[in-house]
Amino acid sequence: MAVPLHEAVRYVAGAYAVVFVLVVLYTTLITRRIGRVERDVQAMEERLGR
Amino acid sequence: MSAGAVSAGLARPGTPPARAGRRAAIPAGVLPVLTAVLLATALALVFFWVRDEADQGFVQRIFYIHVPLGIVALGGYMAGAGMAIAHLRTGEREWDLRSYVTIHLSLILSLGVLVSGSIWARASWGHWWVWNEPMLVSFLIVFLLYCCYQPLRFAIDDPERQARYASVFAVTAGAFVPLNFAAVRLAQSYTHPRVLTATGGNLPGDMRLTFLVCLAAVVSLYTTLWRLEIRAKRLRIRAARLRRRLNAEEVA
Repeated sequence: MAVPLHEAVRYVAGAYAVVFVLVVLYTTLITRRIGRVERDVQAMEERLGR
Repeated sequence: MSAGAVSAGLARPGTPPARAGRRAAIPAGVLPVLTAVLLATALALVFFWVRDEADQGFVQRIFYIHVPLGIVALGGYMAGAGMAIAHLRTGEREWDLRSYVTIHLSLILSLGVLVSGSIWARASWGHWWVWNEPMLVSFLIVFLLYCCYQPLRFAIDDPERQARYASVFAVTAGAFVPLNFAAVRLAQSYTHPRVLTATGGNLPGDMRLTFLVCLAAVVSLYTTLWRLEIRAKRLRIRAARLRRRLNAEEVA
């Protein structure tokens, strides 16, 4: 039997929100890591005089 | 810790260089845009176009995120196994890196599958989890199996042994995935819906189109995130090499 619409919307929104949060969190962490490492690489290359 | 251990292993002297300089088949800027377009289209179809399912109503729309995530996650595990085989055959660490990233991403997607599936189960069956349902329990077993992948990797200090053991694990676990899935399909009784079947599925046209667009969106998202993580790992490898060079020069 179908769940009432107002309840169903909460469940559906919850499921999509969980996936959205996972993806955004992951992307944010990776992007910040890339930025940090790129700065480190640039600094080291300058020190090595490339 | 994980990236560092993988990076350290791949950055050892004598390791074949990463293929960072090779031109990608898809230009870097195209894939994120394609992913964004596909995701927007998929969400529009799910929430504004596709009809309500007759039995479950609006809550059935969880299907359009839950199943594509599951398909891509399981496909990722098997792809990781294929890359691990390539690593064992060729000895190139690049394949080990790819296998690691593929499995890592599939783990994240699997978490999404389990949580979205639990929410759907609660809405449909009144329970967050059902232990006597083979499909649920088998997927959980696969997820827990792959949760052992990273601890196994990083318990081994020697980078070559680490890569080799991780590849063997990935191959064994990857072979388990389709066997597990086949065994579950042969199970007699089930509560978990079987929408996609060997006869082509029993989805009406609008639902099938929406499902296929959602599947394409998840595949595109997976590929985009994969390339992003590969880029991050290769940068760390480069940083590790530069750091070693700097240390050598300072010692000298």
